[in-house]
Amino acid sequence: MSGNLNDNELITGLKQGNEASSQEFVRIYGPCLRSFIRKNFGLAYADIDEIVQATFYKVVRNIQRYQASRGAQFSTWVFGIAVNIVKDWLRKAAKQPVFLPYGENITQQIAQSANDGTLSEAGLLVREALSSLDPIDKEIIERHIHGVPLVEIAKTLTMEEGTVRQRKFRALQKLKRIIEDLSRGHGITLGRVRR
Amino acid sequence: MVRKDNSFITGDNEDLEEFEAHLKVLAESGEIPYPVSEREIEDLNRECAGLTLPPEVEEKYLNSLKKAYEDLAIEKVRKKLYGDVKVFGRHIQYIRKEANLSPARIAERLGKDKKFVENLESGQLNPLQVATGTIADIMEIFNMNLKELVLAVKKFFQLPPMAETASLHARADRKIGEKEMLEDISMAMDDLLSVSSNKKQKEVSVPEEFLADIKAELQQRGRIDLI
Repeated sequence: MSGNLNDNELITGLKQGNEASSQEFVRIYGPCLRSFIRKNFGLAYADIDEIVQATFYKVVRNIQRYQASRGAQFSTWVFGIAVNIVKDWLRKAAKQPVFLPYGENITQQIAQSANDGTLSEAGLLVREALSSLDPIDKEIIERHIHGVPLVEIAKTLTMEEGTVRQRKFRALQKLKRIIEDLSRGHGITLGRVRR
Repeated sequence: MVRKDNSFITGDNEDLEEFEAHLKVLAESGEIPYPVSEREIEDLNRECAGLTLPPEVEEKYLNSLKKAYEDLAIEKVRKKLYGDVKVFGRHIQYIRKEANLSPARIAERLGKDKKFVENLESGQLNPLQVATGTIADIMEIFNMNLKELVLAVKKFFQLPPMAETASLHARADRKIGEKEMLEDISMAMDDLLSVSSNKKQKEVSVPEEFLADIKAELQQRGRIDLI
């Protein structure tokens, strides 16, 4: 059985801590979140279930902060939380302290930018540049930089892996040029990454 | 709103790999969102139509929600505490009651039986005798940091022995309802005794090794925020 993902009654019920709404929420979103993570990140179900549990937990902990009026659909908000948790999980699984953009706590950074919507100049610049790419190229780059393996991207977009690899390469070159042009206008230069 | 942070956008831009690494940093910090579109979610919802979760998975998910609501309730109570710390067991009991949680539920989350929680709350258990893992569990559930724990444990040892007898007496088997009321009375009594004994400035300290073990345990759990 499927249901309306953005049902207002469901959201209100969750905000009130209504038990029936909890059940409804799990029934509608549970299978969806599972297939979504499976499709995009290709993890084992045991791991997926851990991630989905963490997602449900985080949604409830932050439910009062969700406001439909801010523009984001409830479903987009929930799936966004899931993606952040997957990324955290992947980072821990890989045991590599990947990139530390501003120093300390990445999760805090993510939470902060998700909550108050602040962006750095570089972030705005890249977003602007991405939006001028071909939509498919944009999606390939976005998935790729979020750590989705090329083979998974190929599956999602129903393309050959080789095609995705080529498009990714060209799109990166193009994106770099666009950013260089834009940044001259903005007076910003993209620089070396601190490792 | 634009946050001024140029700390990592200085210097010049060399090769594509470097550029890619840079994009990953931005993605990592949440500045470039993952492309989940409404269309994709709607498609998923259609695909998942008819799918049901295995019962044991559904139970896990529901339990996760339940836990989140409980933690929200605890958080709410904590905000009203304004840093007030009671005698170790009473402190836990107070937060638990105000958050509307049963001793049985706390026991379940601790993987202990109800009796354990009752003994802990009434002060019949010496906190220094409780396993490190369990203390850490308690700290996680009640979002209690090390400083708060130390204060609560100190208060436990500052309590004159009389309080123990009074509490024990209050906790003797009674009719239901009566017991609830007596719990409140003995909680108030412990509070009172704790205040009067504070005036006498009885100096107690919590053993270093007890704290070191807890610190190590919390560190291992990644809960440095509680240290």
